[in-house]
Amino acid sequence: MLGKGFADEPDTTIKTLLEGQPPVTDEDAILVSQFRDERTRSLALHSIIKKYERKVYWHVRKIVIDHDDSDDVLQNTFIKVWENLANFREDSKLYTWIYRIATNEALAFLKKKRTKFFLPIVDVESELSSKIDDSSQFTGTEIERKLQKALLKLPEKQRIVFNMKYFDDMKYEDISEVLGTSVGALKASYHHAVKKIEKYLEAI
Amino acid sequence: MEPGNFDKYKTNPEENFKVPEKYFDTFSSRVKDEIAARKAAPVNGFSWQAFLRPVYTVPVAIVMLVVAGYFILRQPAEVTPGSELVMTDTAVTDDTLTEEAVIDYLAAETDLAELEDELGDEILVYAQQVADPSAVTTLNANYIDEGIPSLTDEEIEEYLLDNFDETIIENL
Repeated sequence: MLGKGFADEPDTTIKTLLEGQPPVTDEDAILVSQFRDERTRSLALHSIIKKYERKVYWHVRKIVIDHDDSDDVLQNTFIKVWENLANFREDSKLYTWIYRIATNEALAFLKKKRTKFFLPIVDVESELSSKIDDSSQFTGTEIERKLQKALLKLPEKQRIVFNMKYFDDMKYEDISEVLGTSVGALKASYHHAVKKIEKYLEAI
Repeated sequence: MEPGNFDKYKTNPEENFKVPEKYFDTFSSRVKDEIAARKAAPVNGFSWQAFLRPVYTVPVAIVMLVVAGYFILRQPAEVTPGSELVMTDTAVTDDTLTEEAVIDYLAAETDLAELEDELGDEILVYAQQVADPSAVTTLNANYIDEGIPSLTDEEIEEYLLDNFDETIIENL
């Protein structure tokens, strides 16, 4: 399940180190607070990675498809978390903030790939599609393979909206925080994505 | 078809995409190693190559063109023949340099004969008058002798009789 590995509790050692500090009720807020303390920074980062690595990995994997590419993007995501978490303003949830970084990193990765090899969008799509056909990458049934290929026909951001809503079952409000798009626009985007996928699946 | 009606396709991506075994067991430590490596890496020193980036080169080129244009197109201040004299005049009119001081200087230190080529006759006359009033009479006499004839009383009377207009009297 998607939730697997997300229930890791913050290290009790950190809690001990932070005794005497102002009480923070939210678990993520505790982790952020711990990260800002030089003494507990490393342990806090470890806890944050353990808490979110799987969830973020699958979010990234559905965008870039390839495992090695996902690994690079995921590493860069958590390095950016390490670089910027001290300045995190906490006006959004920690996990939507990390999702946002991961999404931007994944989109930047695809853009870089396109620029590096001078590939038009359709070629990136066909390259990703070929990885769906690669049995070392994808082991789903034929129906699942068709759905993944149908998703690759969508514009990148529409595909991300669809993934977050359909597979991750995220709230529109949270998706809005991640993508910086209004809830109304997200609903419309999801609706269009569904229509396109239906049309594609009916055609094959 | 309403959204979600193709739920028959909906599966957990974890079950469809392959991930190397124990990938998540080592991921955290690899990130920490990478962070440690970045911390240990020496901070890049100053490099002139950084200034070759367009963000620097374009503004620098514009500034250099403006500076070069200023020096190339700038008109030099014209030096007119009388400009030095103007400055001298300014110095003379300075409050610290009184007219008497200049006259005293000229009278004591200057040979008037040497100044004839540079200064006008009026200044020389004035200077002589102040320095030696008797010289003015001589100078005026010489002046009259050289150019303008003196008129006698008879000549004046004759002129008036020839040119007398009686209407002037009538109009009085």
